[in-house]
Amino acid sequence: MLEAVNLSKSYNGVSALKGVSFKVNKGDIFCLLGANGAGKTTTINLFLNFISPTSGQALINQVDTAQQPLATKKMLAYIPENLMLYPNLTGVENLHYFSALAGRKYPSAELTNYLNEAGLREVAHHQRVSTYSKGMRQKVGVAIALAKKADVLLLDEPTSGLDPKASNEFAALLKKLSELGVATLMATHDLFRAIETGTHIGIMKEGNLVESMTTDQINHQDLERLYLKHMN
Amino acid sequence: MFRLHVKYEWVSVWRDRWVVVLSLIFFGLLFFAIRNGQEKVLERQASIAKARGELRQAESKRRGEIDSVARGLRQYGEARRNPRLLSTYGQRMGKVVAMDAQPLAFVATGQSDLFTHFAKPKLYGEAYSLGFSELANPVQLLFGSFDLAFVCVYLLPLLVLAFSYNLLSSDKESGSLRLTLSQPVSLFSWLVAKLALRYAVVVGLIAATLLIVLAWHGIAMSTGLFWLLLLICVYVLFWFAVSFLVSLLGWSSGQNAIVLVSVWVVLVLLVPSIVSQLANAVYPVPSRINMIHNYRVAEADAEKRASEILTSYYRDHPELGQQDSTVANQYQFWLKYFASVDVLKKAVQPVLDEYDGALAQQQEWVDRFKVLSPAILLQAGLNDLAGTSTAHYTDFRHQVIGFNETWRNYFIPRMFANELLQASDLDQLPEPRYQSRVQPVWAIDLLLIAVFAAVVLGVSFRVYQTSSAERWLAS
Repeated sequence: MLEAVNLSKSYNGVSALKGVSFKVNKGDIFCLLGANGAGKTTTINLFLNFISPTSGQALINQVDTAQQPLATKKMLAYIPENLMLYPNLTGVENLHYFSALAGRKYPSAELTNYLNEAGLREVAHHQRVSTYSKGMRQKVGVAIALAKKADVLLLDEPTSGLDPKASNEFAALLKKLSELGVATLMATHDLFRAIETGTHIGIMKEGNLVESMTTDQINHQDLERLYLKHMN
Repeated sequence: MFRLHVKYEWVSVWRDRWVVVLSLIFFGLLFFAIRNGQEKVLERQASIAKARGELRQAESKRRGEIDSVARGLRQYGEARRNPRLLSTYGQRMGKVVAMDAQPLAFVATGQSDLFTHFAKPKLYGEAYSLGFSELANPVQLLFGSFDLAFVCVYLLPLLVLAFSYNLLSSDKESGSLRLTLSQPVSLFSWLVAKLALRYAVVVGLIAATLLIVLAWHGIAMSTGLFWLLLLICVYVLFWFAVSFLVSLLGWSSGQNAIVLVSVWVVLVLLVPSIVSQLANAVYPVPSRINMIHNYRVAEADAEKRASEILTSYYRDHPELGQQDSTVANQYQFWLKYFASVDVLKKAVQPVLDEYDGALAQQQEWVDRFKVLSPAILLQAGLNDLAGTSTAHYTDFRHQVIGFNETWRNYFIPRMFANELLQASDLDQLPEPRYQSRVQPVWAIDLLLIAVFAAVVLGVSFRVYQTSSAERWLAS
């Protein structure tokens, strides 16, 4: 479970995030929408402890990420917009390395299972990642999340730049993880994907969370109208 | 965790063609450098062996002649052609005082291309310069020779920097650092593991190449080799530490490269040449022209007063006086000369002392300021291990001058006594015994380089402690 409590961040007096609070429960997929610079990535970086909050808390399973970053990082998986792995290592090796960093060691058969589960074709498992497409790398990212048995998944525009088929496959994987009880926080520009995949939607503007709702309360057209209203 | 980082870093490094190419280039450089050094050593040993061989041949020939003449079996014509004359033998048949190459001489050319490695004492002439080298030779710190020391001092840091400058920044720029740091790992231990692996690769490469090339050239292994490796390893550690520090500052690969190359230019090129130039400026070596001028004035004066000088010389050294003053001494010409040489020596001594003193002060200056750069320290340490430092040649020069005195002291009193050589005398001639009396200083150099490395690592740790992840992730 993931929770932002009055979370603020300012850089040299300029506020990037102004007292944002929300909660993502087990199995929920919370989609953050908003223009570039609205504070979506800042929010995710705070949960990753890549930056420290000016005030407020970013909690993962009730643990403050700023206080115990190593403990919270064990519980989360992260897929950035452009997930980069070690190019000279194969898919299996990358998965082994990153899951072992999180303290989970698997025999290679199990690593193969995770990659299969994430939808990576078996022929690519032992190829170097330098030959992978972005979609293939994202799949390794999902496999890492699976192998790590993460409770929380942080996604920063994971589908931007993916072709519709890859994007669709990725959405299916997210649903699968959500069924496993993973709490997902996803920053995205894709309104359609947010409605389709998400359970909750939040709209951010200039560091504030201006709207928050469940996806069954709204359809695609209404969401688009609401979004544009805030952006204008 | 550390082992995991190291393991995958190794796989990455191994699969990186650039690293393999760098390693091959470095192997080639080391191979060529050691070969060069060894060739110089062989040349040096060959020239010493040749001089010794020639002397041995000449000695046995001369022994035969002396014996024949002494037994009246052989005529020699004019008096000055008598092989039994002490003056001829002492002048032409001086023993070879040689500075044999030390086991690690191949490491550093040092001063070996400036000084001679053997000298033969003479009764007269070359008394002051002894043909060692140009008198106005400044203390040289930087040498053009392509030897192991050159590769280690100048090129090795570049290899280390090429190998490590973008360790953190490339991961940051590609984006994989974000994924790594989203795992429960500390950046410090991750970076240390990566650098440690690369350090081990560089050091392993040096050790392996050294052993292979030495075996190839048939150079014997010695304990000095271990110290040599240690010295180089600590120097390499220093450069890795510098790279580590710069990485932790969180700049881009391009900025890292510029900063690191600047550090290299300052420590390896600028500081040594500034120290050397300042040594010349602060303690200039007196002009050789002045010295030669003073020498000639004193010489001309001594020649004019030769008889007078000889008389006073006899007065000062009554023990040298001839027993039977009715017989003319056959060495009269030489004796006058020796007496004048004594006067000459006293006259030019201040000039020589001034010159020697300036050299010593320059050396002291350099010794004091070598702590400014690990590059000077390594060069000094390698020269010391190789036995080619200025101190070694100064010591050798003093020993040659000392033996020259011993040699003269054997002949001159016998010439005053108007004696002739016997074949049996040849076994009683003084033998040179050159043994280096230089106190090794490389251990101090090693320690000082280690201090440099420790300080840089300490500062790195401080930088890490006072930084947050923002510094390394911000783009």
